[in-house]
Amino acid sequence: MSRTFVAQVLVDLVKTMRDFIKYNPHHGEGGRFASGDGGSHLAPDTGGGHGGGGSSEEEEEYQREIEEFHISQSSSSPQPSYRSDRAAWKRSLTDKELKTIKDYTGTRLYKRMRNCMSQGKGCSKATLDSIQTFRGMIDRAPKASGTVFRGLNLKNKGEVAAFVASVKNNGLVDKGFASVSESKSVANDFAVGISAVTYGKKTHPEKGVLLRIKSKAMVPIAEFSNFRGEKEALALPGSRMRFVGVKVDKKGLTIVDMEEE
Amino acid sequence: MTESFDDRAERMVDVGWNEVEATFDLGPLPTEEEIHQVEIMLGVLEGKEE
Repeated sequence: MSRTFVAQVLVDLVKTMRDFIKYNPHHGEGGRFASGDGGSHLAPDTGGGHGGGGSSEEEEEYQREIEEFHISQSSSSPQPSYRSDRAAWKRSLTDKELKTIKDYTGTRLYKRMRNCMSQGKGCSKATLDSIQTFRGMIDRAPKASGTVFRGLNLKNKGEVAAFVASVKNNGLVDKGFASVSESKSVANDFAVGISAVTYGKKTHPEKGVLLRIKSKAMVPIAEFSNFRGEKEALALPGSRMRFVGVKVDKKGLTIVDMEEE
Repeated sequence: MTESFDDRAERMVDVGWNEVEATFDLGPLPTEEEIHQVEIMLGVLEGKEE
């Protein structure tokens, strides 16, 4: 094995590690996602941009647009009550419940649950048991309000238009538990297909939709997730959202504003 | 088992119309005319974000 070959392998390895660190939530400083206590703050994005790279002006714009999630209490309870209720709820979680929520955020359990709840598919005994456990745990959790985001990555502009026309007419109803992010940046990346960058492909904001939802009752679960930087929260089954407005950003991403009824 | 980046993306994004319909009840589908009107509107809105 020649020295040149070894050197090239090392260079490639370093490059690969840089890419990995860029997307690894456990590398907060300068990484793609923040780490730390609960992932409560996104790290400055030094990773080359949203939507496959943009100007520094656009980057600053996106940074400004990162909307920190403020847990404002649900309208029925004051802030101190929400905090103490949530602390009590967390203390009340059983080992089985903690395992279920970990599995939801760390494995493909969410997909099995969604398919079962929305389509009646793959409803094995284990999946039904997980849904029951999950539902019991989330039902008794204190609910928070705030603005959350979810991405849609569609086939073409025609599907984007069809989706917008549909929500204008009918609004949206969550069929099961829908994962949302408290961070616009995270959902934005998913909507434009940022993972494509990992494979050297371009993102497609024009095929994406960013749902910006004013939620009245959701359950933040970031501290249970393996990926705290995603600032995940759960919208509840049956949540109804009405259409508020639509805009298209400079990169062509369609942003749809919804409000929970 | 831990997730890949794509797995994580799957949970917070609906990829394709089928996944949108699996996550949300959309109600009756819009007509061709309604879709066309929205296409025009989005074209007008493009690049004119607030």
